[in-house]
Amino acid sequence: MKYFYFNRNWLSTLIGIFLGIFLLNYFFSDNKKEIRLDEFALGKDNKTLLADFEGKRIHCSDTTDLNLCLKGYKSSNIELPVTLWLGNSQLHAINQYYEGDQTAALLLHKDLKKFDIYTLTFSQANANLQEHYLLLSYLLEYFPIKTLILPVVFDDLREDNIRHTIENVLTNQFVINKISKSYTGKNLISKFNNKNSTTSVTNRKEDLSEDDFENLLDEKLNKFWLIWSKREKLRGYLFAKLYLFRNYVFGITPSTTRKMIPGRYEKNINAFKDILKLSLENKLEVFTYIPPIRNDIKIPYDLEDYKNFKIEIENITKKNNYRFISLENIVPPEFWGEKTSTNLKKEKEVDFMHFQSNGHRLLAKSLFLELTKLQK
Amino acid sequence: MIFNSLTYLIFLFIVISLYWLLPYRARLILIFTSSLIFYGFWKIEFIPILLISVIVDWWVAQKIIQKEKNVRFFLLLLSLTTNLGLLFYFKYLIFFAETSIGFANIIGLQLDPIILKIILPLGISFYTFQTISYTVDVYRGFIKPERNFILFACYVTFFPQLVAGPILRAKEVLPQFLNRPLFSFNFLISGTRLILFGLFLKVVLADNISLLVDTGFSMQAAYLSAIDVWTLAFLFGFQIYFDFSAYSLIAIGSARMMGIFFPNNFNFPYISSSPKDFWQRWHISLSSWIRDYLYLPLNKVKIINRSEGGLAKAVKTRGSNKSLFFTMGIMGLWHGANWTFLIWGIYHAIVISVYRFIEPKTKNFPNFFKSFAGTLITLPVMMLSWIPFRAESLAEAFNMWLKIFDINSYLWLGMRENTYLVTFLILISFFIIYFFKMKILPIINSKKYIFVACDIALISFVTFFVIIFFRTINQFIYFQF
Repeated sequence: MKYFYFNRNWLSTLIGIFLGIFLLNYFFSDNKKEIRLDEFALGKDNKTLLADFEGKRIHCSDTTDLNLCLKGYKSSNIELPVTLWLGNSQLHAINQYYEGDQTAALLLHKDLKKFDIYTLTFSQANANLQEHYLLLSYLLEYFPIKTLILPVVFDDLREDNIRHTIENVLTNQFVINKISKSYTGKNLISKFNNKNSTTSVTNRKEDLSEDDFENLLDEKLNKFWLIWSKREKLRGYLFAKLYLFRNYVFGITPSTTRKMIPGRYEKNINAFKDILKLSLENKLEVFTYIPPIRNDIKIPYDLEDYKNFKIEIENITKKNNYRFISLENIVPPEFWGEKTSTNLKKEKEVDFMHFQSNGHRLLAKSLFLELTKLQK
Repeated sequence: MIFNSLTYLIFLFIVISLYWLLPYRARLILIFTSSLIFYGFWKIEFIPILLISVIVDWWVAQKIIQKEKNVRFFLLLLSLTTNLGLLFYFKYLIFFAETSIGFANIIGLQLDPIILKIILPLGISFYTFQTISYTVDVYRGFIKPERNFILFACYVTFFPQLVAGPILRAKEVLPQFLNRPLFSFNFLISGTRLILFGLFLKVVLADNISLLVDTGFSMQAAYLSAIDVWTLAFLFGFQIYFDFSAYSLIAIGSARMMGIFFPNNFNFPYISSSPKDFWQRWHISLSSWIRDYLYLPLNKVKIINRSEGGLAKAVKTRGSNKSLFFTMGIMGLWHGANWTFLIWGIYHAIVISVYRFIEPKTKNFPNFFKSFAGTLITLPVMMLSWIPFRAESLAEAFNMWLKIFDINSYLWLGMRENTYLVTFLILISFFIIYFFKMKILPIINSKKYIFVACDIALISFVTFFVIIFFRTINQFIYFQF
């Protein structure tokens, strides 16, 4: 009988294993190789700021730091009406940051505070509208939201994944009750349940006897071996390098034209409609806008797709009797910036999404003006 | 216990150490008890079900050789009824009940859906087939029944192959337990290598591909282009191959560390130049089982009786179409109680029928052309079969299949660019690795120092990535079967 049989020099196997472990320790002994993927994409020229005001956090990411924003809000004693601003990294990144620069989120919070309105911002890199829908339905349980500010970013309609730190709100009954009848809600709940079902093809979320023991071993190994505890960040580092390599090989830059992806676009448009419907059911004022984009050079979108997208967003908003405005051109070219290369070359690249602090000032000002019109 | 867990690695280290330290009899008890611990780590309450299967088949086999023909047949039926009864209850009852109610509603009988909560015991499909093969082999007179209960129990419950195969024959494993292998470093080293390669395929490749596959298959077919459907078919084809061959490699490696040899379960299936070739390279132990216990007996052809060779002989043996479709349908349903798996089996039956029709007409073609063109045609045909295997529903599977005939849907893309890129790179790498193994490796093998240097580089590369990606986020796909 012919069996599949390796019979190699055992010395080379042992040396190979030890060499692998040695290389791991050698390459990753410094902390520079620990990378958060979402931050990495922003580049070194952008600074992430989640603002505090008077010692209270008023800008958060998702469920991971929601408690900070909640604590800040509750400490005010008076239950002020909340204006919720959902968005992507444009809201928390400042290009060419200088000490003391402030984000639009903080500036708007200060301005509206004078009118006894509490502005809270939640933003995540490349956040899509399905994620906004989930987060909104979750935040309704915690804050007396009266107004919703919603930027609709063309680029983010190419996204479909729901990050774990937002998807976990689907374990909350309040959220399920809010969204279970909507198109987007049904899809997201079904996807989440499939993923967590015991008969799912690939995912294991069963509560196995082994899990506790496995976690214990993992914790022990984390304490014993530094590299083991850093593995998540090392995976991030490897994927980041792959991303740079891919961009280098295929000549991909931030200026490369990105086509609309029909399935994802449709899902996000449906989520947009469901956000407006949820807002109506909860008597929220909604203000949607097309965010600023650097447009002194050709934008990285298919122009026809982008034009149709803007028309569609405007039509849906107006059909629901909500306010829509395009803020595309409010930030002049000099307030934008560059970012570090997103491939292996060293050249700087144009940043279409993130502007300098002056841009944040203009965005906050424009929104403030529009919101005061809304109040009238 | 899951192979890609720290728990398993520590468990294996303890079992292997004790195994080589203990005398022969104690080794068997060690294998049996450690196998029960391995199984019980998942859900301890299913151990009795496993033991029922072991006890019934051990007892039936003892009796079957002593009795006259009619009684022997009755005893065989008793074994089959027990094993298949348990399998039916745990795996197919819900499907059967839902299907019956569905049909009843179609013909106008309004029946309320029944709610059954039955958890499928891990590996039941695998150990059921294994115990059935034992009893049938004894009934056929191919092997003598094993009198030593512990030895027989070791054969059925042996932890490396208990939950996802390979499905082995008693005559291949029992003599190895009896042989009392002497300790050799080669066992440990070759076993470690296989486990390392298996972990690489699982935690580095299969688990990372699964993120793209899950995203793609969660989209409605309406939003997928024809290119997306092809891409997802190929990508899932590679995911399931890496995942399952990883399991097999770790199983073979774990057994090897105890001096027990298992046959190979996969052999570069996507290089196949025909369906016949594919079925002697893919899940070889299952397809060999199907060949020996279903297809060949149905066609009254002499069986091979070993867990190698796959379905090649069955494809070549032109039995009736009914038996072909029946066999492949059963093979599909073995994977899961769902219409999608049945369709997967039927699809392969159709492919084999077409192959049988075309094959004689290609006899005069040059071999090189046959093999090259055969691979070019067989690969996409086999990859398309994975659509119903992975699709969320039968309707989605058909909608996805229909897409590939829609010319207009070749004009756009519905997924992120990375998905196509990853699929392309894996496909190219697969062929490069095959070429390397077949053409370059024999050359390197003859140059001692170059071989050792390459070997060290390969093992350090695999170790490096396995450590970084080692996580228990995903079960092996075949755990659900």
